[in-house]
Amino acid sequence: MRRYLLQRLLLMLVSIWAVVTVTFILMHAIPGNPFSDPRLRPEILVLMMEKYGLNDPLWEQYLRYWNNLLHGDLGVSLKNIGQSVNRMIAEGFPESAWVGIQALLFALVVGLSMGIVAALNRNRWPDYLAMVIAVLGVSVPSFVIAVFGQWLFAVKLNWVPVLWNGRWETSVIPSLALGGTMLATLVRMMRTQMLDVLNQDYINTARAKGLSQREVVWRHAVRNAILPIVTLLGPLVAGVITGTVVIESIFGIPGLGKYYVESVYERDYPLILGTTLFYFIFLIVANFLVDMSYGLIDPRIRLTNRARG
Amino acid sequence: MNRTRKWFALFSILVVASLVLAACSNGGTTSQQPGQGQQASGVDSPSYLKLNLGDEPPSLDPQLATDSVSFEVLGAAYEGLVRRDPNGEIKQGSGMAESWEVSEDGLTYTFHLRDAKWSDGKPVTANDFAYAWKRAMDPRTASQYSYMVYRWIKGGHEVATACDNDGELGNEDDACENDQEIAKLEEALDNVGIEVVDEKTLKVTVTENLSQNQGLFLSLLTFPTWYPVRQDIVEQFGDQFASDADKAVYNGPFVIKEWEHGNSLRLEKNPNYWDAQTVKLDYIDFVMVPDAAAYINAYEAGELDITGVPGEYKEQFERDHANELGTYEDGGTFYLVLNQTKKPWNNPKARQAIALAFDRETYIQALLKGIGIPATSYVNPVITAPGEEPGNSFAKKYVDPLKLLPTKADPERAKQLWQEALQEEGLTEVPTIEFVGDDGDVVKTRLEFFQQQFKQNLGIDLQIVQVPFQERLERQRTGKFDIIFAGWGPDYDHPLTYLDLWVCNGPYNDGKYCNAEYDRLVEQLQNEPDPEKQREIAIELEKLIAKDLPMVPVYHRVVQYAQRPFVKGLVRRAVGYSPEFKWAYTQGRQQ
Repeated sequence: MRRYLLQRLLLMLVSIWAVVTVTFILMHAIPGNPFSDPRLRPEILVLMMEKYGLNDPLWEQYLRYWNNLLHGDLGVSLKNIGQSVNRMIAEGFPESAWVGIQALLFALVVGLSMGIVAALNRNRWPDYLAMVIAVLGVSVPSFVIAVFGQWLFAVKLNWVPVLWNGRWETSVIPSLALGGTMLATLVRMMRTQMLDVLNQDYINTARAKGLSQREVVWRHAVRNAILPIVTLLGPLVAGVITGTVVIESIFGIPGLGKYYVESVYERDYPLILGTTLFYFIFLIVANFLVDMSYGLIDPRIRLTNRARG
Repeated sequence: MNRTRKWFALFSILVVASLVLAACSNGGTTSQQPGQGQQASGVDSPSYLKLNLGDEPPSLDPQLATDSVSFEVLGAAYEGLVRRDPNGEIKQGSGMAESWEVSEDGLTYTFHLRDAKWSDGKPVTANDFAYAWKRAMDPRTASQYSYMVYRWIKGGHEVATACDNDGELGNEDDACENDQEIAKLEEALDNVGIEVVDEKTLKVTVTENLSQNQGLFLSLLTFPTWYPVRQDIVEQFGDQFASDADKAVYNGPFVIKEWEHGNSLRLEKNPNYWDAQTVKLDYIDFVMVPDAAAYINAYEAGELDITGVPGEYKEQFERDHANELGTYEDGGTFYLVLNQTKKPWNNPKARQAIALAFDRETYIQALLKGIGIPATSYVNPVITAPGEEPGNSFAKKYVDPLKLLPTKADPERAKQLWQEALQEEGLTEVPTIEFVGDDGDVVKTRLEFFQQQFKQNLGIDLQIVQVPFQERLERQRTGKFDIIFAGWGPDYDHPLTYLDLWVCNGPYNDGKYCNAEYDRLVEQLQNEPDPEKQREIAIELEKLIAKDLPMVPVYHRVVQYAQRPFVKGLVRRAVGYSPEFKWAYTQGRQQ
C-alpha cells in the first residue's frame, strides 16, 4: 500500500511538471499577446512587455515561473491589474465549489435514484419518465436550462433573485442547471448498469436463496452497478466544482470557471498556467480518491500495483 | 419497490421545497427597503441605483485604467481639475480647480485649487496632480494612456523618450534599465512643464500646438488619466494600489465602498466631496454580468434600473417597455481598413470602389435593427465643432451638408473604378481577398453582409477568415489581412482625435495609408491656434478622406438602453467616462 501511494505521488509530480511545461509552450505558441487593446501604442506595448518580463527569452520566463511556483507564487494577472493569481483562485474557487457541490449532490442523489427506479420499473411509466428526463437533460444545453430557470423562477414567479448575491437562495437555480446535464448522464448510466446487473446469475441466486427485494437491490445490484459510475466521478467532480463559464456568466457568479476561458481568450499567461495547474491538481487528486474508494465499494479490488495471485 | 418510489418522491419534494424556501428567504427581489420614502424635494430616501457594469473593471488605478468599464467607476470616484456640467460645458470652478488663468501666449495655465478633501480627510493638493501626471508619463509605470499626457505637456516627449536609446519608440531597448537611463529620466521629469507653486497652485506649461486651444486642453483634463492620486497611498500599496476598495483614496462625488471582484461593486456618496450637497444618490450598486439574457432578465425582475438593450431584444422592449427606451451616440465610428501595402488597395480607385460597393443604410437596418448612423463622413457626430459650444456637432453642421459619401451603394460607378484600379495596377485577375474578423456569430453575419454586397455590387468574392479577438488584433497590427473591420472612439472632444490616426507613421494606421498632403493638413490642424481655421482644415481633411479613403467609413454607433422612469438626472457622454452620476437621483422608486 505504501509503495503504491509513493508511486502515485511520484506520478502526480511528473504529471504536474508535464502539464506546466506543455501549457507554457502552447500558450506562447498561440498568436496574440496579453496586451491586446486596439488602442495600445507600439512603444507602450514594449514597455508593458518589459514590465512583466515578457521580452525575456522563453527559457528564462519558464525558469522564473518554476522558481515562483516552488515558492507558492502563481504570479499576477496581466489583465486584472494588481490581482494575484493565488488570490483570484482562492476567491473564485469557493464560489464555484459551492454551486458545483450542490449540483453534484443533486445530480447524484436524484440521478442515481431515478436510474434505479427506472431499471426496477422497466417499460413502465417511471422508466419512461426517467428516460424523457434523461434525453431532455442530455439534449438541452445547460445554458438553456439556466436562462429558462432564471426567467421562470426569478422573473415570472419571483421566488429567487436573478443574479448571484452570495446568499444560498441565489445558488439554487445555477446548481439545478449545472446538475441537469450531469443528472441525465447518471440516470442513463445507472439504469443501464442496473439492468445489466439484475440479469446476472448471482442476482437470481440471491433471490432463490430467499433474500428480500430490498437486500437483493441494495446489497447486490446497486453496489455492483455503481462501480463504473464511481470511475466517472473523478473528472465529474473536478469539472463541476472548479466552475463552468456558462453558468457563472449567466448568474454573475464570481467563480473560477470564467477564468479558465477568459485567461486563454485574453492571453493572460500567469492566469492560464495558474488555473490549468489548479484544475489539473484537483483532477488528479479526485481521481486518486476515486481509486481509493474502489476498495471500499468492491472488496475484490485492492490498491496494489500488481494483481494478487 | 414501494420504498424506492417513496425515495424518489421525497427527493422531488426536496428539490421543489428548496426553491420555495429560497423564495421565502429572499424577501422579494422587488421589495422596498425599510424606511423608503420621499424627501420633501421629491428625491427618494434613500436614493440609489442598481446597475450593471457588464464586467470586472480591469483596473481602478486612474493612470493605468484604459477601458470604459473602469472609466465609469473612476469618473464617479475621482475628479480632475475640471468637470463637465450636465450640458457638457467646462466652467471655472467645476472641478478641483476653483479658477485658472492662461498666459498671454496661451502656453501656461495656472490652476488655483479649491479647499477639497480626499475621502480620508486629507486636503487635495497641487502635488497630487503633479505626481499623478508625472506618474502617467513615466515609462516605468507603463501606462497605456501615457501619450494622453506626455504629448501635450512641455517636456513630455523628453520624458517618454528618456530611456530610448535609438531615438525610435517601440523597441525593446526603450525600458529604463540602468542608472544612467534612470538619471536621464529623473532629470526629464524634473524639467517637465508641471510646477507645484504651492499647496494649492499648479502651473502647467503646454506644448506649442495647444497654445490657442484652451477648449482642447480643458477637455483633456476630464479624462481619467489626468485624475490626481496621492503619492503616500500609491507608495503604501505599491503594485496593489487601487486593487481593492480600501487600497485607494477618492476625491470624487462617490467613494468605492465595496468591491467583490468579479461580482459586485458599491459606490457610496463621499461626505468629504467639496460639492457633496449636489450629490443626491446615497449609493450605487453595480453587478458584473456580461450575459445579455441574464441582464435582461435582471432588468425585468427589477434587479437593475438600467440595461443595455441588444438588437435581438429591441422588439420585446418596444412592446413591453416602450416608455423606458432611450438611445445615445457613444462616439464609436466603424470602418473598413484596407491593407494598402498590397495591390490593388494601394490604388485610391480600388478603395473608392469598396466605399461605393455597399449600402450603408441596409447595413444599419439589417444588422443593427436600425440603431446606428450611416457614416457619410469620418469624424463622429458627437464631436463639437472647434471653437463652438458643446452640442454643435462638427459633422452635422459642417460636413454632412457636403454629402461626401453615399448612404446607398453605387454598383455601376464601383465596378468602373474597380476595373480601372486593376488595370492601373497591372492585375489581370482579382487576387484572393481575405476579410479578417473576430470569431462569433454576430461578426460572422457582419462579414457575410459585406461578402454578399461586394459580390452583388462589385462582382468580387471575399474570403472570410474568423479568428479569435487577440489574433485579429495581431493580424491587424502586422498587416496580415486585405480587409479588416475596426473602430475608433474619441479620447477628447476635437476632430483631431479621429483625424490624426491616418498620418504616415501613425501607431493605429493599420492600413499603412500614407499621403504627404494628409500629414501636412494634420500637422497644420495640430498647430493652428485659430478655432475657425481649425474647422476649415478639418473640413479639408474630411474631403481628402472621402476622396483618398485611408479607411472606408461604415457607421457611427448608437447605443440603445432601457431606464426605469424613476431614474433622473443621469448624464451620458461620448467622451471620457459615461454615465455621469453626480447629478443623478431617483424619484418615486416605490411606485
